[in-house]
Amino acid sequence: MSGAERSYRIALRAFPKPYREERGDEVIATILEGGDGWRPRLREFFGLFWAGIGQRGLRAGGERTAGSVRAGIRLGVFVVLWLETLLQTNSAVSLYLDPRSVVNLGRTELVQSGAAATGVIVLLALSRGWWAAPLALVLAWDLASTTYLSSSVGPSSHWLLWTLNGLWCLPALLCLLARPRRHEPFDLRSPIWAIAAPALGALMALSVPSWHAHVPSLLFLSLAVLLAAWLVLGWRDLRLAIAGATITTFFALEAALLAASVGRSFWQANLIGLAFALFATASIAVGLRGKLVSA
Amino acid sequence: MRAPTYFTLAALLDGPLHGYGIIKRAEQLSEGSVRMTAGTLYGALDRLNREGLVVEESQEIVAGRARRYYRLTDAGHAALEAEAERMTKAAAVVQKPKGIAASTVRRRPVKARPRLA
Repeated sequence: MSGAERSYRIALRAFPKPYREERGDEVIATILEGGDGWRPRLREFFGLFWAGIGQRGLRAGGERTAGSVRAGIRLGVFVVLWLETLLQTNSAVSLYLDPRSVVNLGRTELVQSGAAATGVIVLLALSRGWWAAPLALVLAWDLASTTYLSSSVGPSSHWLLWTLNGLWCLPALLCLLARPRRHEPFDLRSPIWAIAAPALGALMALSVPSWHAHVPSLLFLSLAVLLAAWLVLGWRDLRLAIAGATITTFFALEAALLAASVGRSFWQANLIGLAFALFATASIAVGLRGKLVSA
Repeated sequence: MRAPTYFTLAALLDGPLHGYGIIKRAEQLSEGSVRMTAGTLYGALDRLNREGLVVEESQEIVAGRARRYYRLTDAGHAALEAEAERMTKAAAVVQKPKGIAASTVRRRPVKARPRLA
């Protein structure tokens, strides 16, 4: 085996095993036919590697329909609402146990939990159709809460409240944009999502105390678990990759806003947001790579 | 249809070819503008095979390795012709004879402005 062939066989490892067994020799023979057989050509090497990644994404994702991206966005929004509900319910319980914490952003979080809970209930109830309803309800709740809070917090927090609540329009807007078309299944009623969303929420809730405590080891461990879980899931299903990207993008935006509001330096305060943003990009790249190959 | 896909189909117009044959023929037909890597080629062939535009014609063993030949199906011919026709029409929009193009351009009438003294 020549050096070039050895290099190409390494790149061939990027392809799924069944594909390698079926086509590997043919692909290698085609490349070697066009070269001198000893020096590997970088263009071919990377071309092979990139095509292999695409094939993996394509095979792992199973059958792709035109609604895969929309289904992923819907799932992402659904999980975001679940996560916010779980996290903010935790805040609400803390607020009930220790009313002095209302001095901070506790009241804002309490109202946000109401918005999230409303969104989840409405999404669950109406996931078979009328997508304008959750949008309207979440928006109405947000506007009401903002009006109420703007009278009880200092003027410097007004912009933050409006921006945070504006951020809540995003899931609702995404719901509307990614609503299922006539022929697409309404997959949010699947029991898989009902199990997956609280499980992820629990995982997030478990990891959140470490973020607040800024314990680096726990922080990175929890992030690593989340990233690994989503990458594995996203690798197997384009919808999950898109959902992961949706969730992480949302939390990155929220983290960035909160960090900006307390005046921390970008790199210190946005560590989580930055990690999430990078992961969102990776999720989209993995998902769309498979999509492009199948297009 | 992207250029590599188009020239992969076009390369098979004259008859079945194997992988490297398709790459060389596509490069020749495109006057060097489409230089596919093997990864690109087999990605395109897989997709075209799934869509029923290309099928495997035969297989032979050369120097201990499988070499497959691919050919266009009737659907592949039709898709290629449809794409060529689409591109011809698109090109015609730009490549109209100058006289015709100039006569078809509508110009807004220019009102004569009174000159200031």
